[in-house]
Amino acid sequence: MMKNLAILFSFGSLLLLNACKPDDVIVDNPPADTGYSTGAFVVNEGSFLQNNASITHVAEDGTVTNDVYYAQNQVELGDVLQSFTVIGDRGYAVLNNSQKVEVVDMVTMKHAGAISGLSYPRFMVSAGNNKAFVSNGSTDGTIEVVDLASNQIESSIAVGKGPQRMGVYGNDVWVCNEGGWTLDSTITIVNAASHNVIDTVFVGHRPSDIVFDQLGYAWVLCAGETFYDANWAVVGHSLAKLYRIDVAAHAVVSSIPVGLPGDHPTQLEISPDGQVLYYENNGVYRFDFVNADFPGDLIIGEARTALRIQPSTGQLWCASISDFTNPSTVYVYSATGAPLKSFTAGIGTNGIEFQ
Amino acid sequence: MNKLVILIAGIVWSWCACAQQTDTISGYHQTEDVVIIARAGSIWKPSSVITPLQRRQWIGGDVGSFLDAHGIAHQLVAGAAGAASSLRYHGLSSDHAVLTWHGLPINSVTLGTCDMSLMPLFFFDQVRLYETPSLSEGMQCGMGLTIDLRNEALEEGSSARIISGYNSMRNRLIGAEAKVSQALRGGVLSTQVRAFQQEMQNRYSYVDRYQIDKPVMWQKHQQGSFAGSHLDLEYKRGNRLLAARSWWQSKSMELPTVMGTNVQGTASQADDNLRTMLEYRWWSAKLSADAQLAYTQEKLHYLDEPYAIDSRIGSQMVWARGSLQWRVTPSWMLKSTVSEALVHVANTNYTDGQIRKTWAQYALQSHYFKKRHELDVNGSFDRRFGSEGWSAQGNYGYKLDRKAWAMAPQFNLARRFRLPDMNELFWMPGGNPLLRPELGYHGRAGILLLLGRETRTVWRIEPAVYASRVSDWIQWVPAEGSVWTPVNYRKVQTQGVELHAACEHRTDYDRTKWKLETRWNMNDVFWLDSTSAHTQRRMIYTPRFTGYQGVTVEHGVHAITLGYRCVSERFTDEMNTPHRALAAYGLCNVWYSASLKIHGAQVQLSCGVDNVFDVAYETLRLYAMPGRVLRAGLEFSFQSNKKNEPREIITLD
Repeated sequence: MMKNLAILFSFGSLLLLNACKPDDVIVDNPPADTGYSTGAFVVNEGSFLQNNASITHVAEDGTVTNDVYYAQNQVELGDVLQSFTVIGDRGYAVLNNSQKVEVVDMVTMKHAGAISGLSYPRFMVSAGNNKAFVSNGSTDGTIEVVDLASNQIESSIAVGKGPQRMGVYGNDVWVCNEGGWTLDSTITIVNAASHNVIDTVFVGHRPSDIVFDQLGYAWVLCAGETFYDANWAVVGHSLAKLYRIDVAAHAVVSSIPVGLPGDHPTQLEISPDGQVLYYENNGVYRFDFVNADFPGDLIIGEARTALRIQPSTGQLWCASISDFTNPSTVYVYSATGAPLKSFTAGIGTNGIEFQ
Repeated sequence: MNKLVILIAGIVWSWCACAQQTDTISGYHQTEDVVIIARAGSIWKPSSVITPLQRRQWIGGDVGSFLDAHGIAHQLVAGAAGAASSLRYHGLSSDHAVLTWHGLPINSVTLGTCDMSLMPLFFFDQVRLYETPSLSEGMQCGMGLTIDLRNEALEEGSSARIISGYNSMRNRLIGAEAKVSQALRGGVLSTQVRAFQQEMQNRYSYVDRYQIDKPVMWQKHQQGSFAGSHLDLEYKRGNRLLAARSWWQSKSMELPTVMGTNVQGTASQADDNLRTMLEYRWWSAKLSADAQLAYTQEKLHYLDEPYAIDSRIGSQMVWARGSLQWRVTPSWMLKSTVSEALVHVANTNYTDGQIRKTWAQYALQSHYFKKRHELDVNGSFDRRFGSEGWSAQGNYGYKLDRKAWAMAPQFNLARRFRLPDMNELFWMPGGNPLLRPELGYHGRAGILLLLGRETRTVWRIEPAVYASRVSDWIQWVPAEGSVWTPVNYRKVQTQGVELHAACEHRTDYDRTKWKLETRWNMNDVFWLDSTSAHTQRRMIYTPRFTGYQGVTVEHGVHAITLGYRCVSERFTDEMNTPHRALAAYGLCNVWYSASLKIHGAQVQLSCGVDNVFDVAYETLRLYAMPGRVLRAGLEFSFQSNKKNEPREIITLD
């Protein structure tokens, strides 16, 4: 009897052991080292606290490769990929909730370092001289000056609240103080060489994006604010506005409301020739500010995120997000809005970086 | 002398005890997924899943960890094993199970703050599973499984118990219980009171495989304390019973760290719950009636300063239930039940700060049994929070009883309509008031075999197959920012096969007893892609296979159990991304207990090693699990008019 019991137990154990043997993780074979130094990089935020941010690479021949970082490094990129910037032969993935910037080799996409010591990093731009600026902070904001040789933070520059996107014009970096979890209405101008704040420009609520045209003007899209009462009921909105600023004088030349009360557009792009603006407000508008009147033409009728103009072709890239669980769809249009192609990217696409 | 040494060691060990660490998932979503493997003898009757021996081996343990370690349930945890707010059964969602306390539903009508890992085993005399509970039990709104927690009054005499538990994660539990039963005016008044206090640190190390350099990390922000008590009064006279019950608990803890990021745990949560109930029962040869009136109150404060989340939520509920049971003939019983609840929820994030809702359920049951046949048909009509629908269920069983063996095939078919619960509708942030109710069709067929009766070796074998088809399945998914929200999946299907087998062998004069136990479950759960009716994806966090194998040897005062628990790979996202799947794992556990008598007091000593081989595994993506955990417990109990412990035998029911 005992022998039978022992045999039965052994048999059962064998079954269990084999049933629950850990399987090898299946990973698509990464591409050969053809390099990631060309093409486009789709920035997929991922789901908050799920550590599933990713980068999708689109090669020049149109080949789409999702999760390129994981494929090359066998570890997740991090939590909430806010932006991806290429400076020289390095790529910098700004991971907002991981509180770091992941540095990758742009040929192999392999891990090449990390910039830590950040509390709430958002965007990164080159400041020349092997330095970079990282916008940081959800309330009182700073620009963290990073030495790209050592990946160390050298200094902090105090700016407005919730700094977000930055634009580089000559030797100056223009910082949009979007407000973060509070509210701001300023643009801080920082000299890239001296790291000094040289001016502050007052615009509308929540400056979200900035571009520079060929005529010496900066265009800033201010998203406007939603106002709540003590019980979180919406009680009003401030209008979104597009500001035109004289770059040399640091002075607002004109502003115009965008959309209706309750609209809060945040994405602004400019054509490679610097003469046509594109902005998203429950659809994508094309505004030839030289030859046409505002608001311009509605060329894409659906809401889009990650609006970007490809510098080499002038084509319009943007994404559609259904939720933060399913993959996004990236669309490519001609400069006038004719659809060209689409493909599936990662979760929560919020940006595209072109090489 | 040996007994004295053991006693002293036990006292010292208890004094050094640290609290059991338990963690709840953050307030972003309240549900944890658990797969249930167990089955009752008759699937529509409850079975108690904790045997006296297992209680002795798990002194200081919690209900959630116990269910998981014995293969009865598979839980998602956010930290130390056992953290679970709700249950999954046969691949069904975590919201589909119902937790009740003496019949009062305590997770579906409230805020969902019912963490099984924070319910010490000693706090309840019975943990009963209903696989396909009768809808006449009232306020089920489940899709198959109900767990009922109960306490039993003493028939006579008095008893007292002190327990202490400790584990190597520096968690400590201390508890006490007293029961008295005395004659009063021709009846019997029974009083029982129980209280416990836990201090938790949950301190353990793990390798963070989500970071490029795979550092060894120590769990931080697991500090917390937890206390609870209950008081039960029962007065029984003739054919009447009047009972007053109350259950209070309070918890405060920091929530766990997530792997793969540099962000340390930043959130904390404090809960306070009070549940009170009045119960009256009357019975005669043909008729019986019972009425329950309950009041519950919950408060929850969730704080996450870096993300500017500060939610204070409170709820009160008044619940009443009445049922009438009529034995029409000796073979036929009819039962009707009416349940009503009025719920008030106050939330600092609501537009006007509060919501008031009502819930009603009307149910009928017909139970017929004659000779070998048993047929149970029941149905209910639910109206809650503006939605309504009906459910129906039929169970058929057949018993063939022979001297040496017995056999009982059983069949179940059900249509279940489940209304979204308070947690799904109104949890802030993320609750979705636009959720549609679920509708499911379920079937189960199984057979129970008893072999070797009245011999020294008895076998109990229960294979079963089951399937469900559910429309508008409710599933919590990550939304924008830090919020999770429940959404409806258009179609979900689940089917599986399971086996529960046990064998017990006794030597001469019952000196030594061997028990072999097996629980296996193979299950497929798919949902249809919302964009394509032809795309099937596996439901997240649902293992395809779970298994448990245990061997127990009892000899004299000693008992030792060797258990092996395994869970297969699980996907963690809707796209079933392979590299984000959680790997399969197997855990080996060893539990020992000794039962002594010292100067009239019963002393139970237990110790165990969970995860003997220090396996690294995850049950919820990004949350580290502890490796090898040592634990120990000590219990002193005193009882007048002590009756012998019932002999554990494998039976048909």
